[in-house]
Amino acid sequence: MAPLAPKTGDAVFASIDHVNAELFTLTYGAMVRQLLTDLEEVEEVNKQLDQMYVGYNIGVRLIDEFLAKSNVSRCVDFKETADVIAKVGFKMFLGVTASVTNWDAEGTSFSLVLEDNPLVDFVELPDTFQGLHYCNILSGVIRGALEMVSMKTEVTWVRDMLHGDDAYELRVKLLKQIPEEYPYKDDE
Amino acid sequence: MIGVGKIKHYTNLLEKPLSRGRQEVSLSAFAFLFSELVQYNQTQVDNIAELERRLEDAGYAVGARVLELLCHREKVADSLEKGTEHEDEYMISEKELLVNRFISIPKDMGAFNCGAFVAGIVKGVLDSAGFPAVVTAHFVPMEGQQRPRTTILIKFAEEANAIEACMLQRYILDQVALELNVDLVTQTEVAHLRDLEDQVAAKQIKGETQVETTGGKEQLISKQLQDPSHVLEGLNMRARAKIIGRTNYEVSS
Repeated sequence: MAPLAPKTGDAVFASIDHVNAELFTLTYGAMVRQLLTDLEEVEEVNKQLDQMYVGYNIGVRLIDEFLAKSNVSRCVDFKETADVIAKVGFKMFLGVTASVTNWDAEGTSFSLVLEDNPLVDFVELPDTFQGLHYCNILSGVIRGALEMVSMKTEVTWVRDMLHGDDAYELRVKLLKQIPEEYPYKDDE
Repeated sequence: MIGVGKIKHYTNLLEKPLSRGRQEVSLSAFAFLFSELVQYNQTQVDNIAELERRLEDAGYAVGARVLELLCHREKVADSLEKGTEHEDEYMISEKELLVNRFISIPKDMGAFNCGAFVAGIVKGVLDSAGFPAVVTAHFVPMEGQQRPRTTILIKFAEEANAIEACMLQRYILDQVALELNVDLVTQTEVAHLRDLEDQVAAKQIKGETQVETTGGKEQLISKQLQDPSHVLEGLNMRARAKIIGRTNYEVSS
């Protein structure tokens, strides 16, 4: 079968089923509330959203669906990866596009800027939870997804609208490329 | 940096305009999120009943905040029926409930139903409207179909008037265009809504509006409440419920 041309983010988004964004936003809100009630510590919640369960687990499975639905070819370098995440990935799942900025000198680190974020509709952080990175799930998702395609990354928040900034900015840094390992050796 | 660039910043969350431009996210995004919610709760509980309870609580929080609950894709629930045994029981059934589509139940969890989340949402909406009810989700096996239907069973507490509640619920399920906002209601809004109630009641007594059909009530209510600055949640639902309750009394007397 001849490889299909990669679809743009809009085309993919149009072709898949949708749900009401408000339902999505409110479900996420319910989840964060549950975490806050159970864990009580803001730092713990941040960690849970990103590392331990939520974000990372989603990222690991999301990458399969992403690759299947969008038909992107193998990215030549990290720069292309960044563009694909911002234009196709975000569009496909959240219906918004992000922009890629602030490449550093070596080309291993970039910023993803989101102006519109469905997760935070109708959300305001009370004073007691100012340290909470409400959208930390996004950093976990990106990290998990990239790790499944052999890139170990570190994702941090630079700007957060819920803390008073004007946009959401994630800093993605490539730590290293992991060569693909096969689960079994030939000579065994 | 207020006013600079294309994004305007509002001092208060309540003043932000509601984004109507983007109303949808992909189904898979929701499915992933929901599955994580279920998995997280699985680690926190020991048995199925508690897991369902937690999901229901999460759904309750959602329901208390949303009016267009099952209206994604502008689709109403497959049917709204009355339960046969008791006067105050109603059922909403859906062939393939959204939350159950991507979830498989392992054998040792037998009776567990993720519809508990949806049941929680319904309960949240009804409670905010002032109609306390016990809402549960059940699997109903159907002949000729592999996957069972999911039914949400609503049993109203005694103080609620069931017929009006049913119509109100229909109204909720059909409405798509109501504006949303967060929990806060100011004193001026409360006063305005009380005026609204009186206006409606006055019209009923004068015989200006028909109250037999649900449609008539909906139009009257939606005409009054089209101003987007109104908060249409919590107290507003109660006001509407009172409207319906009062008009019914006028008709029967």
